[in-house]
Formats: sequence, C-alpha cells, structure tokens
Amino acid sequence: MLEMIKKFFDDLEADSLEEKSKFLENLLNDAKEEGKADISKANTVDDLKAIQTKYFGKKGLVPDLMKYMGKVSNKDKPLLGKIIHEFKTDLENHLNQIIKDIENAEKQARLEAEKIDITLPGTNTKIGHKHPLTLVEDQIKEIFTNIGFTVVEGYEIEEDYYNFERLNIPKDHPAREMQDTFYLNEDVVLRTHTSPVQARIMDKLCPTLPVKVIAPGKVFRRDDDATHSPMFHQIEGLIVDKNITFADLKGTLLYLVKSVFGEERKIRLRPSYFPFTEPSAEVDVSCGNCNQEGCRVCGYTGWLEILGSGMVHPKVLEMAGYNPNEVSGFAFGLGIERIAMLKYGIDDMRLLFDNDLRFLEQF
Amino acid sequence: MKVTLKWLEYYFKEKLDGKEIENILTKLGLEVENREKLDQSFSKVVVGKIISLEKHPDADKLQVCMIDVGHNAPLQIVTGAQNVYVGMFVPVALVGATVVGGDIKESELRGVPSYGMLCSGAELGIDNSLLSEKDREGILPLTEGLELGMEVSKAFSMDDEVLELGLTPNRADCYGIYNVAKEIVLKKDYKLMELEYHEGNIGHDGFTVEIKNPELCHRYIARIVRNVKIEPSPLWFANLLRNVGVRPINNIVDITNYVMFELGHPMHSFDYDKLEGNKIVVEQAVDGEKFKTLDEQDRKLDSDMLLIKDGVKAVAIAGVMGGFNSEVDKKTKNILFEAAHFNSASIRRTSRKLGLRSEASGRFERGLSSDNVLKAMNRAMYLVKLLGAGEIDEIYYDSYPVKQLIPTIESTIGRVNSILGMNIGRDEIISIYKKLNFEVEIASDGDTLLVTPEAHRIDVQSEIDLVEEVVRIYGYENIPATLPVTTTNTLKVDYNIKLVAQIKSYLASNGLNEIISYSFIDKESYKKCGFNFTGDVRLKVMNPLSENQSYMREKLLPGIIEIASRNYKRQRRNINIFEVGRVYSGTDDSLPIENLQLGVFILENELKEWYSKTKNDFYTLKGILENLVAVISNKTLTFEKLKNTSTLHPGRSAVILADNEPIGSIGEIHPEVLADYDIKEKAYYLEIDLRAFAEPMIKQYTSLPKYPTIERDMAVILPKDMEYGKIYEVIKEASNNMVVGFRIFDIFEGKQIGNNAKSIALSLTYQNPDKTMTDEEVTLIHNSIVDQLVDKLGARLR
Repeated sequence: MLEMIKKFFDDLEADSLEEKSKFLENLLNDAKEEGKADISKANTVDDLKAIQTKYFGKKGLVPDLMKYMGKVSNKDKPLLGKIIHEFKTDLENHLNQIIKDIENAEKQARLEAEKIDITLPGTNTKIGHKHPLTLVEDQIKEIFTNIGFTVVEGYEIEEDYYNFERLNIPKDHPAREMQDTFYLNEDVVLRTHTSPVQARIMDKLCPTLPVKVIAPGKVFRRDDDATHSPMFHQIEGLIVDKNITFADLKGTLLYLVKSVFGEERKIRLRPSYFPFTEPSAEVDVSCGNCNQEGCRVCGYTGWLEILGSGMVHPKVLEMAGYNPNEVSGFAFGLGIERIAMLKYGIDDMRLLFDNDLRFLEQF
Repeated sequence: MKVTLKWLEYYFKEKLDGKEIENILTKLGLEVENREKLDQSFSKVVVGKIISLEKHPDADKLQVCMIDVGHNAPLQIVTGAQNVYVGMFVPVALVGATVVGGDIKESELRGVPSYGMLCSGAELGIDNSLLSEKDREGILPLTEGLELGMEVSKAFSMDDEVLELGLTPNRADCYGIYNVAKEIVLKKDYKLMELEYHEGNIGHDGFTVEIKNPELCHRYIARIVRNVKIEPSPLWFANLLRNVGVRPINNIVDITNYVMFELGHPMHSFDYDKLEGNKIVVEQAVDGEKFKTLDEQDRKLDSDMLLIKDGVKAVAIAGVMGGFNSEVDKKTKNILFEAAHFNSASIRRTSRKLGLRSEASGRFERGLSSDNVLKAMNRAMYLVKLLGAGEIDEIYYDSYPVKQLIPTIESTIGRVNSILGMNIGRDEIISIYKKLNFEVEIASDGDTLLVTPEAHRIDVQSEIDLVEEVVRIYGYENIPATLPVTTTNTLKVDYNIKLVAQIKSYLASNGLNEIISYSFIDKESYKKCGFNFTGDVRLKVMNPLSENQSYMREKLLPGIIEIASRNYKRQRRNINIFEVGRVYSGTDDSLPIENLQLGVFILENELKEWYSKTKNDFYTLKGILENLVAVISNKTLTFEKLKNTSTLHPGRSAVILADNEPIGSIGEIHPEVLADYDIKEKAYYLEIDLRAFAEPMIKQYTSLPKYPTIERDMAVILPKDMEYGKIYEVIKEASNNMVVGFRIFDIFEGKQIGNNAKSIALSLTYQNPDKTMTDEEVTLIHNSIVDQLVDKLGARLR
C-alpha cells in the first residue's frame, strides 16, 4: 500500500491531482476497509490501540500521507488535504466508537458482577394501619368539610336531657324503646346516638346562622350480636339556616352516597319516624354487590339501609331558641360500622372490635 | 305486627299481590320486615278420616290405620302416635308430600307397608304457641266434617302470605289491620269495605261505670252479652287469628282478639256472673296490694298501677291483663265486654314493672284514640251477632270523662312547599288530605287550609305532621335532589380533632396499628393491670350487658392489653398497637370528665431477619414518643423515675413530663401483669393525657448556621449507676453553647474497666454561630468538658 501511494505521488505531475484523484481515493478506500477489517477482528482495547498506532502513530499511514502535502503543487494542496482529512476522520471516528463500545461493555460487565438478590424481602417492615372505622370516619368528614361543614364533637356520657328531651323524646315517650339505653344514673346516659350534639351546638350558636356541622363519635346501645355492638360509631350531620328544604336533604345525601360508594349508586328515601325530625326518612343505597338484581347482602331487595334522616322538628329548633317559622334544617345520622361493612364487605360487626391484627392490617 | 293478605283481601274483595303490597307499604313508611308464605313448609298434605285402627302385628307402639282421603281406595298408614281414634279427622301427608323433617315416601314399617304419614302441628310448621296444649302432642286433630281429600293448607287458610310490619311508634293505629287497609287505598285504587257495627243505647240505670282517676283512664265502655255459649270459633274465624300469630281460644276471647287486630283497639271480656256489686270502678291500686292474673301468677302492685274493680274486688290490671277471678271459662253464661282507653305512659310503666307485655299493653302504651273505643265495642257486638255467640243487651254503659281533642290544623300551601322545596299545587294537596279522610276547609285567603284529621290518627297534631302526610303520599321518590344554599359559618374546629388525626397518621406511618376497644371495662381488670383502685362507682353502668362491661374506663391500658393478649394467644408476636380515645373520671357534677388519651403498646418481639436482629425495648418506645411529641408540639420532654407502680416494672419505668408537667408514664409492663394476661415476653407501654397538646404549636424559624462544624469523640469511664441525664447536664454547661450535636455511640461494661464502672463513647459536634472555629478553640472546650466530667462526676478518660 505504502509503495503504491509513493508511486502515485512520484508519478503525479504538478496541478494534475484533480484528474487523478479518483485513483488515490480508491487506494485510500481500500486502506480504510482494511483498517475496518482489522478493527473488527480486534478483541481488546489493546488490539485497538495497536491499530490506532498503525494508522495514526508517528510512523503510521496518516503522518506518512501528510508528508506528501509538501511535495504536491500549491494548486493540488487543498484537494489532497481534503482527501486525507476525510480518510483520517472516517477511520478515526470508527475506531473511537468501537473503543467506547468495548469500554462500556467492560464497565457494564463489572456492574453486572456486583448483582444482588432482588427477590429477598425489603427491610423496611414498619407499616402500620389506621382502624377501618377511622378510615371511613375520615372519608366522611372530608366529604362534608369539602362542602362547608365544620367537624364538632360532643360528650360520650350525656345528660338524659340532651340525649332525649331536647330531641323531642320526653320521658315515657314510646320512641325511647327504639333504643335500649345504658344508664349511669337516672339523669345520665351513655349517649344512644350522636344527635345530642345537635342540641349542644345549637345552644352554642343560636341565634347565629347557619348551623352546619357534622359530629362523629362513639355511641352505646344495649345490643350485642353479629349486626349490633354495644358500642359503635355514628356521624351526625346538621344544617340549620333560612330556606333549607327536604329536597336539599335528598341532594346532600345523594352527594354523600356517590362520594362514598361511587357515581353509579342510587339512593331511595323511605318515610320513617324519628321524634326529632319530621318528615323523616330512612335512606337506602342501591346494592353494589348485585346491581339490584337481588342477593344475600341486600336480602334480595336490591337496597341497603344506611342512615336515618329528616327535617329538624320545629320543637327541636324551638327548644334551642330558633324560630321554626323563620329557619329550617335537616339532620342525618349514619352508622360508621354499617358503612365500613358495606364498603369493605365485612360480614360480622364483631370483627371491627375484636382488633385481630390480621384483620386490621388489611386496611 | 303481622298482617295476612287474606285478611286484607277481605276488605277489598280483590286478590292482592304480596310483592306489590310490600312495595306500597314500604313507600308509605310502614316497613315490611319480612314476607313469607304460610304453607311454605309443607305440600300435598290433605284432610283424611281414620276409618279403622289395628295394632301392628310386630310392634307394640305402632298402629295400622285405614284412612279415607276422599278418593280412590282408603290408604293404609302406619303411625306411632297414641292420640288417634276411629273417626278422627287428621292431616295426611301423601306419598310425594313434603313436611317439616323431610319428604314422604312409600315405606314398610316392620313388614307392614305404609302409604303416607299422619302429621303433627310441628310437622306442618305450625308454631306450638298457636295450638292448644292438647293439640301440641301427637297428631293434630282437625275439625270434624271437613271435606276429605282437601288440601290442609286450604282448610287452615294457610295458602296465604304473611307480612311482618316494623311499625314506628307514631303509627300505633296500624296495629289495626283495617287501618293498614286504609293506607293501601292511598296508593291503590281499591274500594275499601265499610265495616259493620252493632250499635246500642247508653244506659244510666242498673249498672254503673265509675272512673276515679280520669287522668289515667279517659274512657270506659261496658256492655253485657247474655246466654252465651262458649265454644270454639268457626274455622274461618280461628284461621284468621292463627295466621296473624294469635292462638284461637274460644268464640268470646277470639272476638276481643279479632277486634284488637282489626281496629288496633284492645278489649277484654269478664265472666259477668263472677263480678259483684253491679258496677265497674277504675281506680289506682294500693301499694303492696296482691292480685292473681289470668296466667295464675300472683302480682305485687303499687299505687302507680291502675285496676279495674267490681263493687267488691279487683278484677283486672287495666290494659295489661285480666284477673284469674273473673276469667271466662266453659261454664260462663254471661259476659261483660270492656272497651276502654288508658293513659299510655301509665300502661307502659305498669307493664314494665310487672314484666308483663301483652298484645293489649303494647297497643295501649303506644297511644290510641279514645273516640275509637265505642267503635271497637260496636264491632265486637256485631261479631257476637255474626257468630251467634249470645244475646246482646240493648244498653251499654259509657264513662268518658276526658274527651279526645281532635285538632283543626292551620296550614298554608306556601309553607308546605317551602319546607319540602317543591311546588305542589293546592288541589293536589287537598286531594291528598281527602284520600286520608281528613276534613279540609279552605280559608278566605285561598292559601290557608284548615285540616282536621281522622280520630285514629293521633299522630297528626300540627302543621309539620301535615307536611309529612303530604310528602309521604306524594311520594319520596318524587322529591327533587338539590343542594342547600347557605351562608357561611366561621365556627372554629376544635384543635383536638386535628391533633388526633395527626397522631393517628404519625403512629400508623411508624409501624403501629390502631385499635378501638370498648369504653366500658371490667372493674376487676384494674387489679389485673396492677392499679391500686377498683373503679369509680360514679362510672358504673346501672344496666350493663355483663359484669365485664360495667364500668366506664378510667385508663386505656385494660382494653389495650386485653387486645394485645388476645392477639398473642393467636400466636401473633409482632404486636405494635395504639389507641386514641376518651377515658372518664367521676365527678360530683352531673357529668363525668372525658379526657382524651393515647396508649401505645409494643411487644419485645425479638426477631431475626436475614439482614439484622431486632427487638423492641424501652428505648424503642421512648423514641416513638419523643418523635411524636416533636411532631405535635414544641414542648420539651423529661423523664423521672416512676414511684410506687405495680403496673410497670419499678426499675424500668418513668413519669413523662412535658415542659415539667407530668402527662403520663412509660415503661416495661410489670412482669406479673404480663403473666396475668398470659403474655410470655417483655412488653412496653405508655399512656399520656393529650390535654398537654391541646393547643396548636407555633413554629418559629431560626436562621441557618453559616460556619462549619467540627466533630470530636471522647470515651469516659463513669460509675455504673451514673445516668446519662447527668452527663448531658455537665456537658451542656461546660460547652459554652458551642456544642450543637451530641450522640452516644457506645456504652460498654466489662471486666477490663472494673466491676462498678461503665464506659461511654460520645461524639460531640462543635460549632460557633459567629465564626469558623479553630482546632485550638475546639480543643480548649473539649478539654474543659472532660475536666468537668472528671471533677463533677468522677469520670476518667479511657
């Protein structure tokens, strides 16, 4: 090769490179292909360094070619420079790329060799869980605070007066039998519902408006079986303002149900009776287990009872000092256990108070 | 309250669909709790007559009967029953029949083939309480003369559906089936049959009714029926009662029960010849008075209870139960029927005190109409006539001192609509009242209505009751759903609510599980937990479900450790739990104090993992507490030795102080307490009062230090009992505020350093807020700290 190049230049007449350049280019192309072939045979970075020396080292092909620059005519110089440059950069780029690839592959292999067993369990086992009743309570509180309700709390041990009388349930009222009550003494009860908070908060706020609160908390009734616990949790909702209507109650409960159970669920209001609301309604949500086709969960009715509600009874407003001809309100009370059981598919209320950690860790 | 379709159909002369009636009643607020077919437990059981009876050749206790079932040849059936006789009408389960207990097949009993089975009441699914005592044993005798081969379900009218209504206290009127029928016509275009009555004239002579306590008895009507023949009611009449759950007894008692179920108004019948003095006196009992009721029980009375007396003696406890001394029996010739109205609260108190609840007392105590008393009496007389039970006196005696006030209620169309958020027209509202048989008068302004409800609707007293009626009948399903438009309130949220949420989130994120235990506990559990008190009687529940739920908790520990123990027994070892809840303390005021507390329990749970060995100890729990408090408060925690504890380990427990105020305690649970709860590992517990954190903390920014820190280590040997707290104090004092970080990285005890000593290795971080410290400056302070430790604590350098 070197000889052929030498001969080419020896034979080259001044200012004739342009005509003859094709030959030189072919020669160099062959040299390039030969170089690439050598590169592809190389296995190590060292092999490639040798190739580098062969072409670009002091005695390599490229410096050798450069010598001819001084020998050709001035007119031929730019063209020769261009030809040499193309040859050089092309081969050099190729070589550098291969060196980089091999270096990368070696680095990659080194890291691969540092591998660990990724299937061993993680070491961070510090996971705790809030009680499912807390989760449901928090969700419902958020649903209502989003539309301007304030969370308030009341006494768990309450005066008979607030638990019953202020809710239009005087002594000897037949409705007292709807709830079996625990007594501490004649005048003090374990509250049977969160409704006494209605009277407490109205006492605090009257005559200002609106009253717009929800009140979660523990309540107590003398019942203990798969669907009743002597202690359970309720959330009371109360709104009192000018122009609050029964239709508003329905809309608010629809918002609640869709927020908790999903947009596709429906509600049904049924006439019912609570001494402290009138008109009153029991509220059912469409069964999500069977899409209302009837199943064991809904007792083949397509509906699940979830809460009691109604328009605040004029007497209740009056006892708090509001004029029932000027303001109106609605109230509702829902059992958190009931919602939790429906939401999570829990079939025995006692599980919620057994506190088996295998159960609690599922939430 | 049970209602059968057939009873309802009687008023409409229409065939009813059970599902449809259930829907109608539900929409009207009469909840149907259950609906079922009465004959669901048997099929292919027919009326048969025993035509012959022989002893089984091979079995003493069996008899072989030939039964006429009205078609084909008589059937041979082997029976083990002893109450059978030739000529007896019996229920026969044919081959292929189903009865309670299984299907009937052709069989052979000791070599004799049997083609069916004779049935007892129980085998037909008839509750024993609906049968007379003698009918409960053996084969159920059927009324003689029934058509042979007829389905027994037809004979007993059991081809019927029964609806169990869960009535709300305001609708006591619907304890009368006729009033339920009135509800159905509100939604269904049926014609309701008018009831027939047998009326009479008020009498003034010969007999008197005297009410001594008109506040307890508002009305009393008595009427005499003579020459009665006490006998079983006709089957159709008995069937009606049995199917709503009432045992037929005899024609007279059945009539009073029928009226009670039809109109909702209880009645009573006395054997007139057992009454003395030609009068009825209604009067309070005397304290301590004794009285034998119909069920032959001696009852002790008090002056709160109301009695029905004749001229001489007590004959009934008003509204609750009749007396044994005036009971109607087979020999009774003349009857005095009672229809009355008693004060509901008084009846409730009486029946509760006596522990005697009856269908009658249940109705009285929910409240009835006194106007309906005469209707009830006249209806009963009609039935006496219908059944030919006796000769009715033309005259009745009526004492009615407290008239029922039937209100006329003023209500505007605008008001009704403004409460409902709807726009129901005047005519529609009026038509609803008309359907209810309420009288309506339109006032001159055209918007105001004057509405008078029917007498039996004692729940309708004010305008809001009318609103309820309107929307109930208009249909809850037709109410639009809107959202309230309100003003805004600025009610501040109690900080405790946020605090609790924050604590729960923090602890759950740090590996602890939240539990919720009962607020009532067993007072014995205080002892078990090592407390030196036994439960405040002011926190005792008067009527607990059980002794172990009889005291309102003063501590969280008993509930928490019980749950820990339960999980431990289920082989659970990773027990890290907490509860946030209220405990109570008794006061002499009306209400106890309710305090929010936090309890945290962790089990030692020594655990070898593939990467490390871990176990919980006192310091794990202390770390949880310190970090929690740093999140919720600016307060500084300190710890002092806990004195006189049998709940926690005396050497491993502390009082927790926040800014020098005690807020609770922390420590290893006393080994004896753990043993009592069957926990065989160490466990740690803290309980704090959250009142200390009830104020939101105010965070204040401090500017970031500009100069570098320098770290120096030291190892000192100190007396073994020297507390870290003291070392910390000395270093802090000697550091001239230049020590900003402080860490113990080793504590060592061993022979090399002597028996009564320990070595502590510390790493101190120095920093001057105002400039870069030089090595010399650091060395100076570091050495002075060492000197102080030597001087004050007897330390020596290692």
